[in-house]
Amino acid sequence: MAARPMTRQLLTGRLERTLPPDWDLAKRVFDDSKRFFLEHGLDADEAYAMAMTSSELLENAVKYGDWSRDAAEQITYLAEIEGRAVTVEVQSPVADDPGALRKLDDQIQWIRGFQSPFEAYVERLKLLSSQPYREGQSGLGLIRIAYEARGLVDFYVTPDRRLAMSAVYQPSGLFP
Amino acid sequence: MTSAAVPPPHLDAALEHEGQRVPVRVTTRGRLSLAVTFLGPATTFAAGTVFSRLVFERDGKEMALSRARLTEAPRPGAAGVLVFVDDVYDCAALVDEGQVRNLLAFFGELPLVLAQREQISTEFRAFVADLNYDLTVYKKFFDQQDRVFEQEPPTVAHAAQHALLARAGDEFFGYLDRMLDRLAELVQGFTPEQHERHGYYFRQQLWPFIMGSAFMQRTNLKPRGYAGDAQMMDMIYDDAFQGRWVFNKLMHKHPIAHPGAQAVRNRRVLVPQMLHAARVGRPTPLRVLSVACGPARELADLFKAPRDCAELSITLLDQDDEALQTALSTVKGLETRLGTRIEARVVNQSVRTLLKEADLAARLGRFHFIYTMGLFDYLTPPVARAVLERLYALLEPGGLILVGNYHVSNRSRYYMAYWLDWALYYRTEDEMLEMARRLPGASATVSFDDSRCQMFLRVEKPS
Repeated sequence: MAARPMTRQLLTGRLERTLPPDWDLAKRVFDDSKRFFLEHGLDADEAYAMAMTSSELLENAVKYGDWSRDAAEQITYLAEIEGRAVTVEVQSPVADDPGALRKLDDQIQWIRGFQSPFEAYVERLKLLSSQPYREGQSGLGLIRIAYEARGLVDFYVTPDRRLAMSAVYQPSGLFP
Repeated sequence: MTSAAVPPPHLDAALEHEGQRVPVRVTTRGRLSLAVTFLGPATTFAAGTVFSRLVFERDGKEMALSRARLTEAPRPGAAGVLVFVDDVYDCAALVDEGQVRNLLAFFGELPLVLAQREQISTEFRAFVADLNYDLTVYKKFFDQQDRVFEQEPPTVAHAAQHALLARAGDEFFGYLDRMLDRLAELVQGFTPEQHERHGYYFRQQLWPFIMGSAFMQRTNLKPRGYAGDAQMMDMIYDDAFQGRWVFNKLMHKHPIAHPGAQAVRNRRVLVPQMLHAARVGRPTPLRVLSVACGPARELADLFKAPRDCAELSITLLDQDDEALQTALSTVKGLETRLGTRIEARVVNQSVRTLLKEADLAARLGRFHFIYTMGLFDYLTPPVARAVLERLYALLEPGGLILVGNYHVSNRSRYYMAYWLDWALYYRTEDEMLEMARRLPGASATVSFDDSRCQMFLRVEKPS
């Protein structure tokens, strides 16, 4: 990885998309988002990591979204650079399942509870390696965002029952 | 009425021996061993026999476990004992759930962990080595004194330990302060990934010392699943020595005496002061909402007299039921002390999922004063904005919200990150004000506590 300049300026900007929930979505948005991040001052590694984050969150939205609720529901994607924060947010319909939301909440707080997401990654690997693999339940996707992209994952649920899942990256060199 | 004895959970399987499958029934003998009964006619195996595999069927699939040795042969009326030779399986999970959990499987991932040290700077390695050496010297010294004290009657031992804490405590704290200054020098300017990598390395190296402090043990292990739980807050509020031995006492006390912890104690006093000031000229009862209330120790300064109980009603919201129980016992204690009832209710929910309520006011009510300390430090900007927006909608006209958040220049920042494994979302004054910028009609200001670690965003809604 190339050394980053000690101080640098990012350009404020937003990239917004409203998209249907299909499986090619993540692939299509990857290039668009990478270009956006590069054009707004992130270096190649950072832009790749944030594009990967975008793909991961979009894939989760397609996979876990409550698409049975209304055929007109779509995914909204936002990439934003403002101040010290580079944010990716993906919104998708979510089932009103308090148990599942609580589990997601616990998982997010567990990941965020580690100063080093690598530690979360290791702890998760330890758990997975001692258990039989279950399709789609590894829980590594969000940890990868935290560990590989240095993204602080977070979420909330909107009053119209959409899951707003986000990852925030704070690049170095912008610290006041 | 008679009841039949319930047989223990078992698993029907087969042991492979010299190419033959021998049917067996296994039950759990311990976490790591199985009791085995041979089901075939007149099957005998001597103790020490090694079987090449244990196989069984699960959901239509054949599962196979590696080599197992018969350590005790079956006797009439007693099953044999089987232990695994090449792996360590969780036998309880195997029998009770039919799941194969190999406790050694993570061994293959260890190179990943070992590789973490490769990008640690030379200066940082030397710093950690020195720290390790110094702490070992200090610990040995303090432990030696403790061994001497232990031979004395309790009152004498207590007095001697007290004298040692007074005599050597300040000097030891001074040493730790100097090392924290050195840590700050070394890591200032690190990228996020460098901080994470060096933090991980630091904790791996100093783990025994970290575990020697009740406070640091809790912040690192996070038994409630998150940092900043009610017990951690109580430790900070108590601000006392904890632990049996001198070294443990000192390692516990130092972080809770640091400015970052002092800021927690400061806000406990400041919030009630601000609330009492905001009461003046307002109708009663004044409805108050504490979001992510934790143990709510500040209630003691909020409800000081029976008049306060008549004029204030409080709603306590937290994701952690244990914290709410602590808060409720505080309320009960105050009711007993003041001889009157406090109008208090609790809501057990996380803010992240609470926002799904379309009519939040119908669920929680409307409030004149909302405060939240120790919540926004964990919320990233999109979530923080959404939470603040919904809280603002719950305010009565003329109402006030107070939001606490650690400042980017928190002097305990690296202490918290490296030693305590406690990561926060730090903000600047501008970032605090930015959160309030989209609130219709709101006027917002930012102030600090005396430690200058903690910021307060004060948002007022027009009357």
